[in-house]
Amino acid sequence: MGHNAPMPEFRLPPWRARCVAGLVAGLATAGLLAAGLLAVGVTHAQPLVPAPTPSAASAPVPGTLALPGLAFPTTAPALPTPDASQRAFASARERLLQVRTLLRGQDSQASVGSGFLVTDEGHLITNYHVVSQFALKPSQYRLVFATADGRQGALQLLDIDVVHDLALLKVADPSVLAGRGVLNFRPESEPLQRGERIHALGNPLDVGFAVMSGAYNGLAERSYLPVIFFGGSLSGGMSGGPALDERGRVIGINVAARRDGEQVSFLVPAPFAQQLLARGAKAAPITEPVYPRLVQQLTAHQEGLTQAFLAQPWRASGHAHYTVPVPQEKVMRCWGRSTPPDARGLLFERSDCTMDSRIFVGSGQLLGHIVVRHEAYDGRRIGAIRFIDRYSRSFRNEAFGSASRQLSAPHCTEDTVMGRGLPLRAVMCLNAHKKLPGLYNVSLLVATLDGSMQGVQGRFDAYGFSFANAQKLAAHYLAGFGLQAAGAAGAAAAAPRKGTAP
Amino acid sequence: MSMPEAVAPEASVQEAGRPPPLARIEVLERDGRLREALSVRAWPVTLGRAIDNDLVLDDPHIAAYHAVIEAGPEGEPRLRVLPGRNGMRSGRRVLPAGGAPVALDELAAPARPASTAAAPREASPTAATASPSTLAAGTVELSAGGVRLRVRRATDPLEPEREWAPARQAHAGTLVLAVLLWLWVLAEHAIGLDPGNKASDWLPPLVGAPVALAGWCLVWALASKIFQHRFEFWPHLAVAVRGLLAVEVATFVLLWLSGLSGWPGFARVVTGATAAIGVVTLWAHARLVLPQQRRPLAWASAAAYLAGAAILLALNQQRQERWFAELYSAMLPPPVLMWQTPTPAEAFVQRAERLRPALEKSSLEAAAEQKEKGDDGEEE
Repeated sequence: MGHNAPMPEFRLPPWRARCVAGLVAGLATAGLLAAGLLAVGVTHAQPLVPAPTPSAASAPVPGTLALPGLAFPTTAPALPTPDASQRAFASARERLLQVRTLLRGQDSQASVGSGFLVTDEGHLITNYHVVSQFALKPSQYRLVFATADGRQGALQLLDIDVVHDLALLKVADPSVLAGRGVLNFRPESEPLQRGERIHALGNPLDVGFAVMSGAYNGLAERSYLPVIFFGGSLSGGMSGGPALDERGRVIGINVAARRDGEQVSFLVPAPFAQQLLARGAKAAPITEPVYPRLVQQLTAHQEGLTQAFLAQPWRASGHAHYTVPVPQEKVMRCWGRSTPPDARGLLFERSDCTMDSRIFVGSGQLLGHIVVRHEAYDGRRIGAIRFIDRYSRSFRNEAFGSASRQLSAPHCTEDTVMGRGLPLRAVMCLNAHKKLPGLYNVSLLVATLDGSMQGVQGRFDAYGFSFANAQKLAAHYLAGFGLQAAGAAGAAAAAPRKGTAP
Repeated sequence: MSMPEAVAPEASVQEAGRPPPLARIEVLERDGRLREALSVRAWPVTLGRAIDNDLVLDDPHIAAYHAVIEAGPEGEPRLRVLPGRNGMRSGRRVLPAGGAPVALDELAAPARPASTAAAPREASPTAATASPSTLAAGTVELSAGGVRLRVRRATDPLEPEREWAPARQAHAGTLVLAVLLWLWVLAEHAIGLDPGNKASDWLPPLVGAPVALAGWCLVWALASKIFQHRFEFWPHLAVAVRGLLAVEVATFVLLWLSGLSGWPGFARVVTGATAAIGVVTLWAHARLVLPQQRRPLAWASAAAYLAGAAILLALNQQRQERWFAELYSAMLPPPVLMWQTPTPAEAFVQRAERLRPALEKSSLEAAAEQKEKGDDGEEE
């Protein structure tokens, strides 16, 4: 990926500061690696007490939090009184908890994050990634809470929503926290206005409970999963903390921030937390690894994503000779670059399309997303012999992951394949997720074979999909390669696919 | 001078009044070079450290009077090892100190078939450097302490004179191959460079490659100098040039075969094939340095290759769940050379189904392992 391509969003790193490099291999030519560095971690967010200042949020905001891609700047909201955030913090402080993951058998903390009380019975909400170590290895870890005033106690994990990065916990002995009250959710019927002031609470870097105020900016654009774009700072340690409106009602849960910008942070919309609470409030505590539940939730997610993806035609790549599969930019973001026009070697144009929505499953594992890339080569300046050399080199050296505890080694099949009137060399590799049976990473590497001095190489990656969907997506991708109809060069590259969609 | 080989010219040897030589005892360095020689015209001959021996051997492991070679009842020379601490050896045979006399005939190297003795394949690549230490029939090799002795008798048959092959002829082929190799490297470099390159871009193949090759051969030639006392630059160059050329050609042929046939097997064996050529090349260098050890060197090379291959294959299998590191064939043929019939895309995607059992197996194995260990022994 080009240097100008943005880094994907970061989940707030935990205070244990574990960074996971999600390396996305790019097409193999000269330094064309797309590297997305993801820091995954959880920090705990301490609650801010919302001041019950009525906000001026009465302008109709279209769409609920469940739909991505709304926002246009609206008029500025009323400024809060100077002490609004102070009062918000003060009243929410009691309902904020630090969620600690401790190694079983000792008191050293493996990671810390935040959570907040949502029922009088002691239910609290946090991020899945705050408790993922416990969720995956309950025999090695235990969960405890700590309050701002120094009380501690055991926590139970009741349910998770890995897709939206949420977890529902319960205080083992609710009497310890009795009478503290709960944080209420802001009703969906009262949508926030863009620009409205909101306050994220948490304990950044374990330094101390803090309020980070910022602006509500609607939903992040081009995100498959809806997330609130929060114009404020979130740091590691605040994960799982609530974001409150001026009246102290929960509108979202701190989850992630971009590290390549300033004050570009993200919140999980509160309705998902309400759904999780409704679904799991009566559940028995989880004592076994949650892999079966992860498989179930990820399977449902990839099913929806596959259908949505297959339903979209490829869009025009602008290549004069070939049709190349380039995804619509509704849920993906594409970055392109090319060799300078005065370059004397092989000329190429490159496109990298990635999804912002990636699902954190465990350390180093981000699933449920798709990456589409291609490079178009023009070798007229170097001649046919050099082109063969460069073109083959570019096809070499693609990585397909190696065997690990989570992932099987890649197993590949390759052949010369007929696209739509176009001979292709295709390599299809799959890795099985060892602990998530039925889910696979699929990679498809394709090179056109019809040109002695021009060609296109593409790579399609889908992470965490069922075998059948991996095949459907691969067929969909292959069908995107073809020759431009004579006379229609440059237009209508979004040719209809063959019937591979469900 | 053309004269029958085994007939001594009358005047030259029959010096006035002196008996003709019966034997010649040579003292050799550890590496086979001649240190000194004693011409024997009458038996007995005494060997030892004391200076009144006929042949004085200056070695602390040798007795003052260590051995004597004397004429037996029939006049045949016999070796008698005198009482002492260490005795002597002849080949693998131990001759204990104070033991019974042994006829030199018993210790003599057996006569070999003439074909072997004179065969050019016994010689190193250039016939002129044939090994001088090849044991002639009838010669007796002895050792005492750290001293090596060789006894040649007047009665021993002499090998026929070998033909002197001037080195230049043998070098002609090497020079042709070296030029070919250089052209190959230059062509590869030309393809690797973009048009409009600077003249300095050509320095590596024009200067660097020949210098590197010469340096390589120089090091081997120095090794030959140490062990064989001959600076065998050209023989080593001959080996290196052939080896490198073979590697280049094999890689090229295998990759293109793979690209044209679409069968990845050819690409997978590139590493193994080039490594095999490399091992053979190293062996050829080494046998020039130690011609006496050719057979052990060959066994060692083969064993090293097999062990390396086994380790690599096992590692690949363990880490990658396959034998060959090459995941797919990367050579893309130009359109004019593409003769495979393309598979329909749907069929190709359907065929991925064949990968499924292996993939499911690895997740089942992981699940079984997990069950065994409780939930998960993962450490990070």
